[in-house]
Amino acid sequence: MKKATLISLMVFWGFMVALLTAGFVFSQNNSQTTKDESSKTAVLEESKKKDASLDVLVLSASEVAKHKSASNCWMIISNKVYDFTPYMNSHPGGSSTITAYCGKDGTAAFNEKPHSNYAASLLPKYYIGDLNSEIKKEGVKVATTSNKNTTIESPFTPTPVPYVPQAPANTTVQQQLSQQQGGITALDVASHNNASDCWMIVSGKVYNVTSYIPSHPGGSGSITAYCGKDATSAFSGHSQNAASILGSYYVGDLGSGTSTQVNNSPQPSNTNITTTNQGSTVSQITTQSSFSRREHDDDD
Amino acid sequence: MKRLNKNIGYIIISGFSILPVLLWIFAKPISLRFATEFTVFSSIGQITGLIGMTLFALNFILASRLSFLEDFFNGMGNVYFAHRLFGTISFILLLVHPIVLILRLVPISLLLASSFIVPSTNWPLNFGIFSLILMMIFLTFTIYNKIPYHYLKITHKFLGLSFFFASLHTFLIPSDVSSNLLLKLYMILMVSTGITFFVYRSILSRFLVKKTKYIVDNISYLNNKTVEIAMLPLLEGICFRPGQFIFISFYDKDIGLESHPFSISSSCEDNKLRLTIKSLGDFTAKLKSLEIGTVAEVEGPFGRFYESNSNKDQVWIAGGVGITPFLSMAKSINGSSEKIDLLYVSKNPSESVCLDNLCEISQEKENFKVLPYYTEMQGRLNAETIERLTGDLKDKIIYLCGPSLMMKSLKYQFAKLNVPKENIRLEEFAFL
Repeated sequence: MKKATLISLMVFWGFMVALLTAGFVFSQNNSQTTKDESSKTAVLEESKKKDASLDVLVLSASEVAKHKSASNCWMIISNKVYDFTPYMNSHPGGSSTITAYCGKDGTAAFNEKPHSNYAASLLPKYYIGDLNSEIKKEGVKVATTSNKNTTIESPFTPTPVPYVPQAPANTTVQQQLSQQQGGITALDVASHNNASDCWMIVSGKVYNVTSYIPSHPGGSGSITAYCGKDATSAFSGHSQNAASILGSYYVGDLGSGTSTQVNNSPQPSNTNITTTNQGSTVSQITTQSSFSRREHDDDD
Repeated sequence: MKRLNKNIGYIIISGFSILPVLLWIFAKPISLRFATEFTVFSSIGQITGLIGMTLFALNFILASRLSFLEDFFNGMGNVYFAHRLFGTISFILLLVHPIVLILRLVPISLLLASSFIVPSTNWPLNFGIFSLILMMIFLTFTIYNKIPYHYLKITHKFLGLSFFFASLHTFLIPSDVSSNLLLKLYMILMVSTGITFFVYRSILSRFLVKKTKYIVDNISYLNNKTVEIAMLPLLEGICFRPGQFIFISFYDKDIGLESHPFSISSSCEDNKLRLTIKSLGDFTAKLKSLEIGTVAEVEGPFGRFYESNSNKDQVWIAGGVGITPFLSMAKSINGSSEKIDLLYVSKNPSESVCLDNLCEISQEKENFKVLPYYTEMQGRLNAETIERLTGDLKDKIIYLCGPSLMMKSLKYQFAKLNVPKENIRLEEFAFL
């Protein structure tokens, strides 16, 4: 009996120490890569001064294809370009499974492989820009074999879509309108009030937890009871782990009538997003004068 | 008293610890429990938590020293054995509990998983962490042999604190226990039982448990290591059967008030209660400073070692100071027909205390024979030697009391000689 106890104690501590170390290294790595990124940005800043024409990069499929190694890994998912380089070592399926798609279109792989909502929520972190859109080079790691004459090679032109929450089929136009005009109203949330379509409000934020219901540790019954309602007080006893899981189901803020801040929409660091009246979001470069001039040149 | 099935205690405890799992299974469709990897790990985590917690609670009953337990486990020695066994199982399950629950988070985020074990503002989780840390600290003391018995007993009591935190954790953490009424009620019942018995044993026992006062009347050294303490009852002595033991504490500052278990070496007819104690540990060494006239408190008697009503021939095997219950048993032998052979194993003649006493008894009683055995001269005792000295063992009841290694080895050898298991009676000496 003593032996069994000692062995399990050792296994326990081995596990805990390994976990803490891994967690520590993981957090260190994260800050490390951001540091690297910023130092690279500085270098790029200087080179930019030398050649202003290089400031703009077209995110074509061929440009993405240049970033095909584990140390420099871009990928297309649903017509959006992501730089997964800092994420390589964190991929739960091992870095090799993700490396296989570096430089390629990983849409099918991302959808087919069992990715959680949480995985989807990680994507915006690594978003660079939409496919075939033009971005400023600063802040983006450029492929070493950078080609000056990058052109749009993709056979299709992307039609950027607004990043609105995945409205269920039965959502009325009125609801969508109200969502866009003044955030999500409590009335909107109330219409998603069943286990197969379950939204709820926690601390003024709206979450679509439909897909999480079967995983709820306290049983599905205790969570579905709050579908369509404000669950702030019910959620207050939950762990920080629960809070982080909840975060991945975020839909938008409960509306007060000011801005259409829906979903954790991808915010590329150096790209400005303007929202047109029609509600379609277009990524475009608005500030760089050199770029606009060049664009005009091309038009001529 | 009616003897229940030998395993009834184990069956009851196992039943009580499996019941919450059954309640848990019916609380929610099983398909949801094992739908995804995440939920499978959650489920294993919950099961280990539920069983671990129930056993933790029930173990306080086993530690209560209440005499009804002897009926279920056939003697207090076995109760303590069960206490150790279930305690170990509970501890291991409660160690697995967080590991499994953390493992399910690793695929999601390593950082999230590691933050799970660091205390935070999440108090229900913190209570669980505190409980487990306390448990690990105090059980390490228990596992580590070298610590004096009385410190060990004090540290073991702190497990009550660990249990308190574990209870808070059980009821406050969002889980099936907090959402399912039936499971909640069951766990409340278990936890309150655990707390009740803990409070009874560690706080109320000094008021509630009947203790008998004795006065040390005589202290005689049988050899340089072994001492016989004879005590006279202050009012009325306890009534005991041969082979039983008591817990005793002395009103002496140097020795300390902690109670310790010792076999009684006198017979019931003797008006003095005699203990034969060999200086082995910390406490027994201190007993040297014991003075005549010291008041002692006796709790007991306990034990189901000897059943004198069986009419089969018997072999008694004593190893060293394990002779003590046999001293009492020998003095109580009535002139019945069954043959009793006592194999008294010791290193050398100077170690075999009370041999003269026993020889005297064997001269008085025809059916009782003493066979001294000296390991320094005759080597280690084995089952074949015993059979050669006493005759065929298969139809005899074997009583065994001695160092645990010797008992373990002989038990194994008897099994090889096809001696039926129920014919072997052991007196466990390792207590806590």
